Amino acid sequence: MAENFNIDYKKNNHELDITFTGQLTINTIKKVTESVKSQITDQSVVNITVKDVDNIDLTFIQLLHSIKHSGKKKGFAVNLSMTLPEDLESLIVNAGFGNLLKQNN
Amino acid sequence: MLAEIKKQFYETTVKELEDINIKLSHEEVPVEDHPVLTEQIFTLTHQISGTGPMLGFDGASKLSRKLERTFYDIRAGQRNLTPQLIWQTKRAIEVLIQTFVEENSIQRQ
Amino acid sequence: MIDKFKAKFVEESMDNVHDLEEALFLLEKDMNNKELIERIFRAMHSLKGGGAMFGFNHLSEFTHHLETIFDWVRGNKLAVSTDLISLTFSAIDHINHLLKTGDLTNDEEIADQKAFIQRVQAFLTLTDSPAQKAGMTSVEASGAEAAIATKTYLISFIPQPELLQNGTNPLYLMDDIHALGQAVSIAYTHKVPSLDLIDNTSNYCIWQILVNTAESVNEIKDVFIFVEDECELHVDQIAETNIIGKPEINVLIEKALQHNLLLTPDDFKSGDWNKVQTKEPEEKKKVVVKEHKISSIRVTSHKIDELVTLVSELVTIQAQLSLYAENHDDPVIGALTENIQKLSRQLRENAFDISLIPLQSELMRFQRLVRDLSKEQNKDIDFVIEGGDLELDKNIIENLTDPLLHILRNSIDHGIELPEERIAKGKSPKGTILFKAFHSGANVIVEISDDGKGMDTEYIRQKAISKGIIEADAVLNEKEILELLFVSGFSTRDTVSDVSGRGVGMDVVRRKIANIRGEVTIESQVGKGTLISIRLPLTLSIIDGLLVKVADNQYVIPISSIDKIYALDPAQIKQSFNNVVIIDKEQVPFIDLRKVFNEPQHQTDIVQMVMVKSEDKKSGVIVDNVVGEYQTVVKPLGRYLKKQEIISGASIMGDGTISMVIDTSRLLQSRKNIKVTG
Repeated sequence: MAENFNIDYKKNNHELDITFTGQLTINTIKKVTESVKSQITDQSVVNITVKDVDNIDLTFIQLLHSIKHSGKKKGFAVNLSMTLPEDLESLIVNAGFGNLLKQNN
Repeated sequence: MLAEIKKQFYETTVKELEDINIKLSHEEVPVEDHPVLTEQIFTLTHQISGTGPMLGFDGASKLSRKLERTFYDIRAGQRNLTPQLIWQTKRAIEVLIQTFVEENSIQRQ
Repeated sequence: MIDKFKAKFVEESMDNVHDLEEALFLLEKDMNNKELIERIFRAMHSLKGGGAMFGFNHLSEFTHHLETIFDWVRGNKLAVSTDLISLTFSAIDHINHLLKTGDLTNDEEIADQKAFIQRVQAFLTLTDSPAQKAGMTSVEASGAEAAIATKTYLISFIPQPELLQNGTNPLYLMDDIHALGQAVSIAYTHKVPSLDLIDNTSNYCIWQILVNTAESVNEIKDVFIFVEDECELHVDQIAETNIIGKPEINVLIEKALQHNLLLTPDDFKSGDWNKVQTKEPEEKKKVVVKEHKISSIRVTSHKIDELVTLVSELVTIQAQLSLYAENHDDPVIGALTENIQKLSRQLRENAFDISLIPLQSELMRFQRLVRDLSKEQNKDIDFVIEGGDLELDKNIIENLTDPLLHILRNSIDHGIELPEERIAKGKSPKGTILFKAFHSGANVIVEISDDGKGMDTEYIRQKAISKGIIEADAVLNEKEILELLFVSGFSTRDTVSDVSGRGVGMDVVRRKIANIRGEVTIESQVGKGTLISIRLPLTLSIIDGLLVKVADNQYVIPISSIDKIYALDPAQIKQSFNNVVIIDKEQVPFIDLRKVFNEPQHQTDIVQMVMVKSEDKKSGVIVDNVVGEYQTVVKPLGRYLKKQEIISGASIMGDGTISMVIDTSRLLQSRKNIKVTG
């Protein structure tokens, strides 16, 4: 199966920018998680951007929550900006995760 | 020998699942078609739950067992084939096909 | 095929009618119970649909009118009354009658049905302003006006971590709930662990959804039907109206999320949306479902199948344990093993006993067939049943019915003569078909015999020659000629009769019987009659087998078909001519399983030959070596794998590997030139 997801990292000072695109589902989640784990080390701010998404499912939503959870534990701030195509957006909102779309904290 | 059986099973099963999926995709499944469809889904899933595990399709068998159980009840008149159920069945069949394809490709590696 | 569906339809409809009757009794006590009305409507609806499909036209027409009535009731256009209930009760009797007899043929009965339908229709025309007429209170009527009255439910969906592992996408489920009406989902994510602890494929979320919908609780639960094993699910009605979006509700949700505390139905009790409805609960009469004294329970057959499978697997493991104990000579394990053996034997017998059903259950159909067909053909036939209380594995019975029906049809159609013909032959005008079932060792024998005209072997021979099945100069004994009936493409009838010849031929009968590891034989005498005998195993799931090795695979040969085992030098096989070896000065044909399964030729010093017999055929089967005797559990390969002619099933060994079970009679048949020896 083609691995059609992409993660971009940009580090400056103590900030880490992560951009996720493509297939963000259970099929790719293991690799996505491993990659994220290896990059998040000692930053004080993590900015996450999710865009150009082909598909998304609960595993990725949980990953976002997990990153936030880690932030609370280790003391780094997590900012999230997520834009989704209309159908996926409604799926996420209907499942009660609408706050991920609005928030920017 | 076993590989051949597996291949045969995989191909026929996926084909029949797809056939059912097409039937379920119609805007509305006519009530007259329910008994035959119910029978078809029941027999096929019964088949998958029985033979699947022997041939390494464990995930697929697990899911198909649920369908089998549900359609057994429908067949026995203990449950109605509601539009909602048809919809969920369609979803389950799609997952089933996907699981089959995945398990088949894993085994080939 | 359609006959099978038809019979199933009748069977299921009978259950349906029974359910209908029960619902009606309950409705009489609680006339506004929507769920009961829906149940009745649906029962009528499926009777109508199924009736039309399976050729019960009168039934379909009749139930159509009743369906309309209950559709009106359902849409609050007509109120339930004692009259309506009485009418429906008598309608049920009529439906029962229609199911039993099929379409009406008697003019009087047809007129009766017409009159009945008129009475039903009268209900629809008489009640133009139904609400008032039926004495509904104005409050209820106005409630009824708003027929699309919706209620608000609280759904708590608490999945287990494994939820995602079978491909389930819970986001879709939430989406489906939203399709039922206005809804709001609350996702609790506090259990999602931090990055260092997360297992990506586990589910950590919990959901609660408030939904306002006109659908019933069952309809809501249907959304979760295929995940019900992996979750805890509660659906509670929390309000009679739509309360979603009310500020108080939003506060409740906010609080719940803040504290990660799931909402309970009680949280919604205090709201003023319930105050208007406080009278409601008192009005509702409690319907007490009648209690049954239960002396037997109905279990779905797959549960029994599963029990038998599990027990069978236990037996396999136990056999291995015994083997281990024998080899290790440990007295403690030895004693324990013996106890387990005893217990598992008892358990096995018990489980099998549960899965047996009496043949009787199918006999009604046979009786009907004989009665109907003999009437149709003006034949006078006495159908005698012996041993109808004999019990067989239900899977065997299921697979036996069609072949038996065919054999019976043959007997009536071709066997038993017309009364005048019988008198001319000096026989009693009344023919007899005897159905006899009895035990014989580990087998059950089912015999169907008739005292009809028997089979003309010369006629069969000529027919076989003309069809090119045998050569014109072939010398065959009587038995061999009768065997020709089982060859595919052979039918003694010149025209396709309405009765038999339409469905399966004798070749199919044999194949179907062989599928349940049975054997069919025919004996016949011209002028005297025909006897068809079917030998069946008691159960399908366990056999005593001999485990053998061929190349890297293990196979099981049923012990019942084994005669002797010899050791051979592989050279003997290589030098052999026409696949025959000489043993004890006798020519023995053999089949080399390595060849059959396309394995490379033997490298070993010695091979073993298992002598197997099937009916009158006998042959050696060459294997690499014999592993030992095994009691094994046979799992059917199912219809997709039927092309694997010589494999009748598979068996899972204690270590998880698979052994194929060899169908010896097919193996032998696959080598037609093997003649009787010894």
